[in-house]
Amino acid sequence: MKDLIKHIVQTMVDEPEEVEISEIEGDQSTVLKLRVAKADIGKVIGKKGRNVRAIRTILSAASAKEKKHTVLEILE
Amino acid sequence: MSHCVEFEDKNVEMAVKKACEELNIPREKLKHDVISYGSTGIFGLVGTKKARIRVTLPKPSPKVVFETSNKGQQNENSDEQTLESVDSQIEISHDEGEDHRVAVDPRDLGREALQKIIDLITTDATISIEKRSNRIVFNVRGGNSAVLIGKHGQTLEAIQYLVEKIVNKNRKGRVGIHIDVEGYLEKRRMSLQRLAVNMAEKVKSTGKPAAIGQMNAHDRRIVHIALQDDNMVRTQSKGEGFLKKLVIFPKKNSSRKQN
Repeated sequence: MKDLIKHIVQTMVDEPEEVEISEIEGDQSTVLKLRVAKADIGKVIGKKGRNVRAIRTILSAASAKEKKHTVLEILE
Repeated sequence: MSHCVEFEDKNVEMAVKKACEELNIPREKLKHDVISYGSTGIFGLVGTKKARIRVTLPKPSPKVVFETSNKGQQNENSDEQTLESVDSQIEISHDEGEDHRVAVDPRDLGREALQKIIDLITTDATISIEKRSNRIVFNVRGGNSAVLIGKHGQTLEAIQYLVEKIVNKNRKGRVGIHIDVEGYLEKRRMSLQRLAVNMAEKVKSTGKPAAIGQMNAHDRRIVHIALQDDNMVRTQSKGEGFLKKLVIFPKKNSSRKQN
């Protein structure tokens, strides 16, 4: 899961080496914390949050089979 | 007296992490003092200050420091190498010049990206590719199609959007990407057209406007097109954001025009 999101984000940003994701797992939900280069934050979020919404939709579909919730946070 | 090394980064946490990586010390064993916490300044633009920490090394030997910091760099390098092998497609386009970027087949790129996303959501799904004039249609078969489509096709829409983004990054022209799961797009189009016609009939008989709620851009387009040749009604999108209402109005002067 983490690797896929990292891969997707890396293809969207200008500085793929700066992409960092940490995962905090709980019983009910998993929190993914995403950190990218400052200039790339806008690219990850997208126009009116369109990019990040698409990523979150895919995450929730992917975690549905494990009956868990996954939260994606973008840190700055 | 023990040896000290200073590290700085955007915030204390990152500085600590950097120190751990470069010195190969587990976080719990790292002894450090915070020199400054740093600040992001105003809106992250003015007056940004980096956080600084001073790490106390267990063995006061400059030789050890030199070796371990070298090791840290090697680790970083090997990390990068594994990354390179993971997304070789993209790396190729990065390494080679502009001319080669265009040469990467959007079909292969799209297929690779799509397969990765789909494998995460469900298993045993296969992709077939169809190329039409200036767009590429990916057909997905097998696996758990209900999860792939999602509520009102929103997962499918998200996958399509991201794959399109990935394919069109580093390209001059734009290729349209359509992703279909077991004929869902066609089914959705048919049912929306049926709904549109039914609603239009209702509007004509009551003479009052009627709304279809919660429609995304693609769905609205289908309804607008379905009713554009009907000169008894007109259609309009209302609301804000990505999900809007679509209102069907009766045309008051339509009977006069026809006479």
